[in-house]
Amino acid sequence: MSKDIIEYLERLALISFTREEREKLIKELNKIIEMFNLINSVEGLDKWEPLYHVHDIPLTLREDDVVEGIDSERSILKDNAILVEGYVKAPKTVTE
Amino acid sequence: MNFIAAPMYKLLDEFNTNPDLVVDYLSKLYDRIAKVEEKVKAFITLRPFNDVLNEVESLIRIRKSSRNSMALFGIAVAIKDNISTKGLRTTCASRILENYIPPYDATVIAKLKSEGAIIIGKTNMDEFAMGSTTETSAFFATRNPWDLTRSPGGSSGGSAAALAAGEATVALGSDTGGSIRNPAAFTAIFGLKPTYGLVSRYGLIAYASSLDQIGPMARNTDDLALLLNVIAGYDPKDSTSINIPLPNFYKAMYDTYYREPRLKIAIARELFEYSEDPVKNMSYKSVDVLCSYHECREISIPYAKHSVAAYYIISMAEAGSNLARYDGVRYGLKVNFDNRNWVEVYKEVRTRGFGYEVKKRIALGAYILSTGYWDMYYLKALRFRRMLKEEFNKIFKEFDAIVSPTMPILPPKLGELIADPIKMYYSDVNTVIANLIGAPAISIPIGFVNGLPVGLQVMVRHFNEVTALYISKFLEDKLKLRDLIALV
Repeated sequence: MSKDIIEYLERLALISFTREEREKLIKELNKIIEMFNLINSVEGLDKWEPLYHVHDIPLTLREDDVVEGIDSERSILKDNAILVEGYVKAPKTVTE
Repeated sequence: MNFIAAPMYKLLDEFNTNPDLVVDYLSKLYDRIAKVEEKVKAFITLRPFNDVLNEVESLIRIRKSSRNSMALFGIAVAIKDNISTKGLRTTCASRILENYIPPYDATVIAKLKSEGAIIIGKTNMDEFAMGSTTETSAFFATRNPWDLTRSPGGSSGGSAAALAAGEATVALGSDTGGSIRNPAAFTAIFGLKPTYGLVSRYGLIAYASSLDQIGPMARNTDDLALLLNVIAGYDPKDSTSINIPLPNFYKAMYDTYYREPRLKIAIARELFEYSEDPVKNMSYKSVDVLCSYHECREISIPYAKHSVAAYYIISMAEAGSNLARYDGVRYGLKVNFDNRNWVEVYKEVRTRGFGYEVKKRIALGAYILSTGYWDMYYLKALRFRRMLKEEFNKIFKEFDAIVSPTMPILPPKLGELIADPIKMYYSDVNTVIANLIGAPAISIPIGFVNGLPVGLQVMVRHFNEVTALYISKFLEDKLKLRDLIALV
């Protein structure tokens, strides 16, 4: 495992590691990947369908009805977001 | 009456006759907290006594004016800090949610409140439940009340420690790969991970959605069953919750207990073999107690170590997706938005907001789901998951329960396990199977080695919580290990 893979992980996950964290991660990664690879030592897995939900049942859908409304000031967000006239302030998503 | 150590079912009797006693009980409990919390550090947020008192006074008025009894009237409950509580800070033990105030209650919280329970505070945990010792908490480590130099386990370590230290009567935890059972075993309490879908996850902050389940924690089996009664049940707000008729778990447990059926119990050989000697020996002793009445046979557990790999692959992949929502916009850590684009801000929020273990799991989750690795790891793990479930279905055709030590080790010294993450991951070997297959599993206190608690795990068929509770009650009766509180 090298610095390259850590940079690749950082790009994939949009997250950065500090220098100390990188050193720790390099030491751990080989062993973690080794553990992951255990799954490839199990024979005959291809004959099993992947299991996404343990009860193997379709998820239920609800009617698209309003149960509890939200006021126009979006006050439900007031404790956690920056609100400007009822709108949530966010960084730019479109840049030149 | 000793309010601190009293089982919930006795407190409920007392409060039913005399509702005003709740005030005495809570004030004794807060005295206890004042005495021990500095040493144990179980709570991230403890509600001020006066707030609780105001709530209780109006609750007592309601109780007196209505004929309806409430199933948890006046009982102080500690809640793991990944379960949303309206108006009460919910941090997931993370900087990214340090100031997060949920605008709604989780379904389990709404149910507790409507039955008259008092939520006294939010307990410490591993950050986003990612850890097995409560040491990845961004705020502080919780200490094991039985030995303050050791970890109470995790990730629901705060809830377990609060019970073992006598700071709450019952508690809720969540269990993704053992996070209720592990700290239950390490603190000599009872903890149940219910069948996947039995308890609503609405309002539980997700780690790995296909594995997460909320469950009860208590100091005896009766209390565990009574708490399960309140929190279990179908919820249209959780599309994975199951709509089936449920028993009254407490009554059904007692019905079984009085009938005393002889069960067929499987002893999971490998899960004993992987355990340290003191744990193994203590566990075999309790197995002897079980097998003096029930019919037991040793079986081989297929793919125990591979289950750990499948568990970490699936949970990290799901964590990577679930934690993508922390953008610092609608909630979470706020950084400067001015003249900066989304990616820049998003990256800074995640980098500053998450601790090392969480960042690692998110990064590995992205890796597992990336082109070329998705079919090599994630898809394989899902195929493995189906095979494992079928293997266990076969075992459950023949046996009513599978027993093993809950944890293969004794409570570790603080700092010991977290320094070796691979060892920490493999310490989940006995508990992850129940999450992968969705089956219920319970941890029962069975004894102490040099003053350190050991727990036995009992795994049963889907929706067969009553059998797990019956075995728990059976062992509790024989071993007399109930209502234990550490001196601290």
